[in-house]
Amino acid sequence: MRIRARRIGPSTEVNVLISHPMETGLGLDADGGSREAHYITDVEVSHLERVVFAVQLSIAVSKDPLLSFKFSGGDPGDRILVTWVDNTGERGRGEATILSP
Amino acid sequence: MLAARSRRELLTRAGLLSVATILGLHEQAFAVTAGRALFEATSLDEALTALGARPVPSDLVSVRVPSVVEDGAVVPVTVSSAIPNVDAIFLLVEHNPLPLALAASIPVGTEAFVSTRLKLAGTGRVHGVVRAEGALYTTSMETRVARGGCH
Repeated sequence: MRIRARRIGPSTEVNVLISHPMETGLGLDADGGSREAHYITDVEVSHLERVVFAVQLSIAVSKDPLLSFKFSGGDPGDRILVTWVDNTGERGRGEATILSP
Repeated sequence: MLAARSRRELLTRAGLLSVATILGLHEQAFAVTAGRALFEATSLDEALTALGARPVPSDLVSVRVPSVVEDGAVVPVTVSSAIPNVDAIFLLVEHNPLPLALAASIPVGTEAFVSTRLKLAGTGRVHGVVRAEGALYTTSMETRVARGGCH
């Protein structure tokens, strides 16, 4: 997972890139067999223990999901925590600190 | 022996309690966004209806997608809104087998702005919907897809 959080003006801009196949379950593999759906269903981002962004995803989100959002405040050095869960129950988490402008 | 058993029971109960706490917190965190059932809609109309009130077209909602894309598997999409008190943002793709692509909860202090990359099955409109004070507002933009991305 790559997380970049940067203070810009009055807000902090957060970019999250998660490595995940985001398999739709609709396609066929090279042998013509069907592939199981495997996709992230939920991503949550917190700043100092407060949830600043929570999102539900579907199979329509591209492989290696990229999510960007902005929240007001956030000081350089503050911790940003990202957690995700997929439809198989697999989980992931990552952390970053807010960078100066 | 009795002591050992009650200690084990206590540990088991403590374990169950903490699992319940974690699950409870998890549900609470995601309760703000729509239920997962919304994602099962198989037509744009059904998906829009499932959001509750019918979204009203608004110039205060903006959806940015490229007007032409080569590969429908990776299409950058940004939705934002100048409407105050937005608490949720939805992205829907007209011709996808399951139109609802993303449902974001926007807590107080977070801007009405989400940028991501979506798979588009073919040429059609991408709809951005925002919810503010219980009402829904929408804008859509068409994008031409050379090669569909729902595989």
